[in-house]
Amino acid sequence: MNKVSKLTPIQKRRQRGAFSLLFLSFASLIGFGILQKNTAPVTYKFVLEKEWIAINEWTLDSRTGSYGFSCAALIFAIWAIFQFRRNKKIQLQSALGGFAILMAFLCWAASGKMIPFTGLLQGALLLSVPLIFGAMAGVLCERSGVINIAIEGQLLAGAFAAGVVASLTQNTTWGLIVAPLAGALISLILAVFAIKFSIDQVILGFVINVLVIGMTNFLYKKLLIPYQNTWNSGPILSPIEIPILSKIPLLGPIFFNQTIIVYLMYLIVAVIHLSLFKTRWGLRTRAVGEHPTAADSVGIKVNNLRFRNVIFAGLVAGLGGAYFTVGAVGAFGKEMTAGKGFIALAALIFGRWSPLGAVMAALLFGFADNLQGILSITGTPIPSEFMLMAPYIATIIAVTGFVGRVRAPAADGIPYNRGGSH
Amino acid sequence: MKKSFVTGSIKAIAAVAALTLLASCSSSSDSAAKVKACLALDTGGVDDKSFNASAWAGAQAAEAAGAEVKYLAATSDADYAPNIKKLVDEGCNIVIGVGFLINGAIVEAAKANPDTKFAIVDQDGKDHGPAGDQYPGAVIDNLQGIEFATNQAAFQAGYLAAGYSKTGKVATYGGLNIPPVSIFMDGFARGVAYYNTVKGKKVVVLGWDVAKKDGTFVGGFSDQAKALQISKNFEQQGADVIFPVAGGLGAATANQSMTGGKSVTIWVDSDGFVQAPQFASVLLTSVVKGVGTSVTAAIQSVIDGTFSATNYLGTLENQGTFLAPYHDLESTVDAALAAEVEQLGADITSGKVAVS
Repeated sequence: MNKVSKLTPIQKRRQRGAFSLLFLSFASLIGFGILQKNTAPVTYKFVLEKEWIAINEWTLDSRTGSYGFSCAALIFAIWAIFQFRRNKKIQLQSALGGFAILMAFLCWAASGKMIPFTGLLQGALLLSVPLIFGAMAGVLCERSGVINIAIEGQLLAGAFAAGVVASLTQNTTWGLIVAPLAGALISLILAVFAIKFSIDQVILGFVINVLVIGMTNFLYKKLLIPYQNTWNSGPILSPIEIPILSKIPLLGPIFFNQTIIVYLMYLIVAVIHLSLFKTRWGLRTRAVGEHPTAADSVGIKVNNLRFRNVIFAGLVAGLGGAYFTVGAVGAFGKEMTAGKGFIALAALIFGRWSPLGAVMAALLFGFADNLQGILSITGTPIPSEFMLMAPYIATIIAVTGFVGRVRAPAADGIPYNRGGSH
Repeated sequence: MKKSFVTGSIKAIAAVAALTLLASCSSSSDSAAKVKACLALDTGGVDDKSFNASAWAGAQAAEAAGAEVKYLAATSDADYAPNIKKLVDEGCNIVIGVGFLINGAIVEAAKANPDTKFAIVDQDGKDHGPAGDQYPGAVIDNLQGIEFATNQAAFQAGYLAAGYSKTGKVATYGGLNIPPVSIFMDGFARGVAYYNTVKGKKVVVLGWDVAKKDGTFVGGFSDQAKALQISKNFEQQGADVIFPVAGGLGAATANQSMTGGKSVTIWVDSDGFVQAPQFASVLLTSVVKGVGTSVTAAIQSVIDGTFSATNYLGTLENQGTFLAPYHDLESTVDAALAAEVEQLGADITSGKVAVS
């Protein structure tokens, strides 16, 4: 290893990651361990229902736990630094270290209380579902060079369509069929104006969101409230238990006892990730997102491909929107997506425009969100207003500490006009 | 030729104007005998099935007593002041602002139009100065504040929930940690504590800490998915009675009660049995805020000529707040418990039991 030479970007990132971990471990040891006055035990409850082996409860002295997990985090941080010096990946060490810090935090925050660990993770997954769908829609658009600010609108349109159609037909399947179409319709507006007419995509996306919010609010007031029984009392999907898998302790109830929307989400993430990096379509998509002129010169129809991908994105986001109604509460509520589309966009960027990265980011966000909810129930030393910021703080720490500088696809947001100046 | 045409048209216009004036005079003299009561609604609109709808229903009830009623709904916060001005200009005898967002505009209008009477729902109706930080505020002679001691009915609900719970855990959560929300949660938690004292039990309240004045909040009033998750978390912690204080988000909790089958829901603001009949099978009761009753009372006071700037306080005594009937779940509530809850209401009114 040449110590004088400059570090490559990837090495810089590892360096930052390893040292952030070291810093956070120390902070955890001091904050949760040394300054910890409470020694009341923390109980982790691992069982939800129906697993094979019930690791029922695990009780731990709160201060010992904080010390133990903080020290473990320190070891992982040092290991990560060694890995960095040997020019190796530090993902595993970062993940383990982050987990240890989290456990130390829980020992501190939930002293004398019970943490339903399985429920915590299951809720985290559910809260991330719309974020993951939204982020996948973002990947499809932005990888092919179209900025999609309208994810929020696509989710909301999907939620509305699914709720209304499921209510009218009293059949969740119809809701699931119509929701993607509603999302695609919103995408069509985006595609036509962004690609055909080269309108500024950020402004366009924003306007589309306002349009969808206005439309759904109007219809909600004039149609869904007065005729609630026919228009807004849709059924809810029931969870499908996957035979053997759902019995696995811890993982089973989290991943394999979910509604069809969640299973479709697994499938969509896998398909998008594989297609983007392993198929001809994926190569072409990435090409038009990075260098459309070059792609055009080898015969790829840039705007056609972009158009198609934007419509695909609408289908995906629309299906994600169905989660809010048929997947969760049945009836549609005013602006029920509550800004999830924008968080999905953040997850996409934080995940470096890669499908799996975006999924990780969305999961982190969902986890912090649900952790906040559970800790507010058990009662913590932290005020609730501050706790509500937890997902955002977690995101900021992760972005600054571990992700570092991210680079958008080079042609993201730039309309392509053949022969025009680019 | 040209001149005569001009004079001709001027005459015609003058004639039309005079007729219109006459017509408008005669129509206003018709209604002069009646009290004209007008509502300035917030952006929720008259069909929000909640706050605004209740206020309008209360105004319509006053129609029977001989009032002429109308409302103007706002489409955005910028409409409040112009809407109120419109109502004042139309000659409304009393203008009632609905919702605390409209408070500033009502206070300004009341000061500018001393001849019109005003009332404001969910506010104390005092002038707290330009920065809104002068407490207690100055009395405005033609403005009546309408407030609700909803913690009284919530206290009853807490007692009921504690007695109803099989698991010994009950829960509450709010939309935002603001006084109109937390007053319910606080009353509920204190009701549970009172039950524990009386019965020597240890029923736990999740989601609100009386001492810290803090608890579980969604962070808004529109995120159904989050409200659903909070309800699931409560169930996983063992709560079997949940009291959401988050407007329409209560639907998410009632949904979880229906699909999970592990809890019952207590509705808030209005009688859920009437407002959300699809959840009838899981609604234990509702903590009702009598917005309609209060609006009727305010209009009635103008008709009777007894209007004053003294605030209206909705209590159990004047039906300004109350616990709704148990409806479909009546058979599951122990008769002795129901009687105790009833008696508790009387004790709160008589001052025997303090709710805060």
